Amino acid sequence: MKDDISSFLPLSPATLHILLSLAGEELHGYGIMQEVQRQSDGQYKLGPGTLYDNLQKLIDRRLVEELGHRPGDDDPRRRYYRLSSLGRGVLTAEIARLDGVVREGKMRLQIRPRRA
Amino acid sequence: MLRFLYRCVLRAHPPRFQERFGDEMQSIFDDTQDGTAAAKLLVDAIISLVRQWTLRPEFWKEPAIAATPNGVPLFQTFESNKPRTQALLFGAFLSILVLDAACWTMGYAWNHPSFVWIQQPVISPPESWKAKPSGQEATKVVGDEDLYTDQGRVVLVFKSHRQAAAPSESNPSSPHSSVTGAGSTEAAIIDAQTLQSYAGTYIGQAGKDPTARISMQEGQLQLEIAGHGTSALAPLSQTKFMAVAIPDCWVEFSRNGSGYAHGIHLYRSHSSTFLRREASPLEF
Repeated sequence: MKDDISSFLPLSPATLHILLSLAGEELHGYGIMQEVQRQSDGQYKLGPGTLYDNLQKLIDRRLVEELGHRPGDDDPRRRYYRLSSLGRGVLTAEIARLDGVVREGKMRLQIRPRRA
Repeated sequence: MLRFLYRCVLRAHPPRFQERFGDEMQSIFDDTQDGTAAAKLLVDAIISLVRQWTLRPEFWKEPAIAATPNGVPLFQTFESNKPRTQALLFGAFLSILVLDAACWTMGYAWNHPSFVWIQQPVISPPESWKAKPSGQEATKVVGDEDLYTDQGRVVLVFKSHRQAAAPSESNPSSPHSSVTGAGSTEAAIIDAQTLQSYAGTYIGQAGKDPTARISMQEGQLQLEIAGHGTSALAPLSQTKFMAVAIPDCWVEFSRNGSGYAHGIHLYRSHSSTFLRREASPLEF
């Protein structure tokens, strides 16, 4: 299982942001776009073309599950998506990898001035 | 406009992608109020279009057929419902060929009326008109060809400029007769004395030939053919007259050296008959 998860890593920025936005709750496509924009403070904007292209890949790899339409939604054309258990595991592994990268980066950045 | 373009771009996506995400992408576009943001979505859709057709061959196939819960397809076709490219090209070629053939046929039929019956007016004066009338050798007729209509038929009239100018040179106040109807401004003008000299009875040589009686009424010659009706004669020249009320009927007076009309050539339906004038008792 761990080997399976490691085969997904590293994630592309778009995949990472999509999985991260779905980690909290089930969202539709437009909701994912807004959540990604909020998480990145507007620095990373995901277009529908990029979003659904990545969503399709994530669904095929079983990282994301499609829930279909919700009866009470304002727009019946919207479909909802949620993070699968595999997707949550991959996201956790990616966050851990990024955490190591961040720690390594911070350490290197702290050491470098001393060398100079 | 942007929505229409966005919809067109979405429709150009591969079938599977369009079926799966087309409505959602359209929904996102509809939720966008700002024009600039909508334009960015359009650009994003165009990039997506290129990406899907170049990098995602798995979306190129037709969507899977809907199946019932037990796995049996609801509807199955053995071939794609889209025509093959070769068939489309052949159809286009065939359409152009048929259109070209139809156009050529119409053009050929128009230039060759024997294949398609097209009623065209036949404008041809009698052959005898081409010869100079007797007693008019000194007059050179240079005619212009004008088209006149007579009860829906087309009549070819030859006119003489010299004859048209005659009244102003001689006696404009003298009584005269002219063609009535279209084109009467340049019609032949004949004095009343000459018209009166034409009045008389003209008898055919053979038994089947008709008898024509020409009289002078209200300054105009009247033709009466036994059994064929009566008509006013409209002058075309000093000796030629057209029967206005009788179709295809013309009269040409034949005069001798002294100007006496001793007979008429009666043209009816492309046939000519010479009628000799009956001698008047007053003439002897």
